[in-house]
Amino acid sequence: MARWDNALQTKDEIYRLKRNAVLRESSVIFSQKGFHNTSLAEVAERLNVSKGTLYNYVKDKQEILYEFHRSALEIGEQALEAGFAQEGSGAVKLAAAMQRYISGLIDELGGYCVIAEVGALKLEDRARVIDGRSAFDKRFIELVDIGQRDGSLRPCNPKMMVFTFMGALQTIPNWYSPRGRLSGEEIANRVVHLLMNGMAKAKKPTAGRGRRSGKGD
Amino acid sequence: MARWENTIQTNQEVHRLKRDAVLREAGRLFSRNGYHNTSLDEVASTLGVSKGTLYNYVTDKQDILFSFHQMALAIARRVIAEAQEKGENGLEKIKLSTANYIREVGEELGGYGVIAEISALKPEDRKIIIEMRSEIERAYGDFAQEGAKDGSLSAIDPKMAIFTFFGAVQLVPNWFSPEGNLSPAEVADAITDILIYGMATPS
Repeated sequence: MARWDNALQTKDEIYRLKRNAVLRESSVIFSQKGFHNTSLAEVAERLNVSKGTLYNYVKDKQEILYEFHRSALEIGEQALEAGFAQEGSGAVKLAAAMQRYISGLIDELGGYCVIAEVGALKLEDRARVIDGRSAFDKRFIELVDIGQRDGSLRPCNPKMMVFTFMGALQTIPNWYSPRGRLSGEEIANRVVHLLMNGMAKAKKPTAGRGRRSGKGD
Repeated sequence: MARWENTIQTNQEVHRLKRDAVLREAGRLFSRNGYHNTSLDEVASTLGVSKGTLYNYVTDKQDILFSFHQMALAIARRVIAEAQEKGENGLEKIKLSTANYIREVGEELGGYGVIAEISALKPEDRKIIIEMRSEIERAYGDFAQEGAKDGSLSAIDPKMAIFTFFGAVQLVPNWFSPEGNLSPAEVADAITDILIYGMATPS
């Protein structure tokens, strides 16, 4: 395979680099204008190539979207592995996984949380993405379970915790600007801090296992 | 207007009741099978009427979707006004309005199947809904600022916190099943609790 001492890019490499450029540029435009409002013609224009040339690298917009979903799932898997490997309580493991996942999505996918766009995928791709996600959710719930057993996490419904977290993630593009001053890591820190500690300054006003406080439910 | 001591429904009332029935049934089907996977044919056959009859009450699927968004936003406006009046501080206002919103949308609209579907709206409708949403977001932002001032909220980025809330609510349709074992009220309490007090056990 290696010729000329690897000094020249192989055709495969060139192809891959060009394809990556298409994906990267699409990601930037999608995040600015939204998936549904962006055409492949615009992507081609930004890359200064013809639409015909673009079709050598991607078949259509949905293929690009699927690629993003695949990367997002990979990032999620790595984040979970990092979480499980993290020393400490379940809460520490969970925070590490969330942290890795958020900063990975922002840094590697350019801040565009494509994970919101599932309905626009091709049917067979959608099934694959949904399967990948439910596997992800299950492992996530395992982390929550560890934390609830060692007492570092509150005894809330684990599924709700996962979905609350996913909801938080999905809306990051609504307030985060890629040109803003915060890096992916800082964004991740803030979101994780909010989710772990909540918004309230005071602790939850119930007496725990003792008598219930009179107010509220 | 009132004839026969109001015992007989007027034509307008009948029309409205039928339209409501169409919307409710569509909402249930959207929640169960997803907006994109539900056809007006299915809505008609579930109601036991022809598709032609259905068109007397709704113009198309997007019309139903728009109506749902309007109803959800009307609920949001109402719960925010109530929270404004009854909440003691910023935190309580956020708590009240969030929990009431999730519960009422679940109960009145028969599920959450459509509130995340924005891109499927007609462009002119989408504009209206997005404007109404920003109004709601501003109201929440005010609550957050109030909470920062009165000391009930910890030092958080209000914009981030608010969007986190909206995100969690928007995702409810992805996992909430009207036939499942959780009621909208329980879902509402659980989400609000996690967001307000966090996942971690306080040290």
